[in-house]
Amino acid sequence: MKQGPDKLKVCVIDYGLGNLFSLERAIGYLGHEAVISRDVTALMESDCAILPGVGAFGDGINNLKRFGLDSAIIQYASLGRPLLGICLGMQLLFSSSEEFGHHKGLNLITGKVIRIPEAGRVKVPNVGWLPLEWVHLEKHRESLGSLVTKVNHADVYYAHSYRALPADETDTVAVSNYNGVDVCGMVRRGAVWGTQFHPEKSGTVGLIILKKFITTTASITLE
Amino acid sequence: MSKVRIIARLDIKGPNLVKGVHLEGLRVLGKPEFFAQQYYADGADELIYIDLVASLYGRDNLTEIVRRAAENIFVPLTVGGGVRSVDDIRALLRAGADKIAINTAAVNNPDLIKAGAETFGSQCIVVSIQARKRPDGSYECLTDNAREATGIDVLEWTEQAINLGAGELLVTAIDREGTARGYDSELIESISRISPIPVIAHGGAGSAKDIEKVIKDGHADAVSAASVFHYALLKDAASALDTLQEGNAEFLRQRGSVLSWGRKGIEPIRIYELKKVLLEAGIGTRILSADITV
Repeated sequence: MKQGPDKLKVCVIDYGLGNLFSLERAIGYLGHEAVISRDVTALMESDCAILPGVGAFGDGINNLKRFGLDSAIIQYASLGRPLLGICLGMQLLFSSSEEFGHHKGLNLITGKVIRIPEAGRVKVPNVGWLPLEWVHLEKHRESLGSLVTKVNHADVYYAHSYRALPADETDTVAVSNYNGVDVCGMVRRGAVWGTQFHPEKSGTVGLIILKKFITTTASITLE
Repeated sequence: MSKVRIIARLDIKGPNLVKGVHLEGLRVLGKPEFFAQQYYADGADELIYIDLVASLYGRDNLTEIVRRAAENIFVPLTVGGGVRSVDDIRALLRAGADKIAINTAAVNNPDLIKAGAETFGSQCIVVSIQARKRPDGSYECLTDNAREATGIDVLEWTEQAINLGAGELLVTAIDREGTARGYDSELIESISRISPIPVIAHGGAGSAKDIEKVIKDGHADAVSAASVFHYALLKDAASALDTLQEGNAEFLRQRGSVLSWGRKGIEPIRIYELKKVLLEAGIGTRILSADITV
């Protein structure tokens, strides 16, 4: 199943939403193999998995259900396998969202997703680059490793109208301040990770973060 | 504070990067992927690709160019030009675009904004507004690469586009485009004031000062420029002709000194230089850390 630590197999979960092309390129650029698939076997046989996505929460969760991927992802994560949700993919990891009504998510991270309050300089969607600040390092330092010093305060690219509120505040790994609004930039619960920003669109800094997820979390499963 | 985005805009015709020069028409500058790669390395926060003659060459041309451009560029890519339907949007997103700019089709069929936003999310849909000043000081929307006047008021259209679900506005002052006389800060400010979504200023950048001005006076969330960046790149590349890709080198040799291109009042500046100038002026942008590598 494994191809060794050099070239890892990264399953990019294809549920019909999201720019999979740039993620595929980024994974390839890092020397790993992207397997774009909605096949449960491909998911289970990968070294790690990424749940991408842009668009609306309701469409996202409905598409996951339509392809039977909701239960597959929950099963995959319950085995302690590494998973990274990006943007909408991160929001789908949460218990619920209030985007266009009320929707239940995958509930892999307890908490909810709410709209960014529009006011003055706070434009919605939040589109642009914000520095990432690590929080709760006492809990996450070991998992982050060299990232802690390497990309501290580094700018990453966001494009979103909703933000996540983890029920357990310490699940938050990093935040960005968007004109006074705290945006949950990165979350982690066990081997389940999420980034609200787009690592595949955040230049070198984003690639470093993506590389860290792929290599570190994949090495955990090899033990 | 969020940082002002610096966007390099590439106008495409067929396989080439072109630039409209005031009263002279289009001039071929080289291969778009060469410029795109360099802008990414220089710290461009985004790239905008506009196909000026999409309808003549067909959709395949643009998707292929986007595919090549997106290859090793890990910042957002906005693509526009002749986008007419949800299927067009989908095809370009599949080719590697992150956002789609729509002008003519959105004006003719505003529901395309709504359909695009509902299908792909608001953050995907950039409504491109080409604004021309009317004698009474108000602005009207133009379509079809600014060939057609619509009679539609820019501020009214702005509100409608926002209500339909646009994620960003790309506002071009047609009277300024290609003139290097500076952005129309008044126009940008009037739109920024009523817009709860980000506004990208375009048209007229001739120097770093112009860019600083539209950020400070126009309250632009992002600025897009073409000539100031293109010519800076060509100027630097001209002194290193041998390292250039063949097509560009050939072109430069044929046309002689690129320095003469500055005669239109353009003060070329590389993106990394611009960001330093803006920082000194108190404007935050994403700063590339040279010491960070993957």
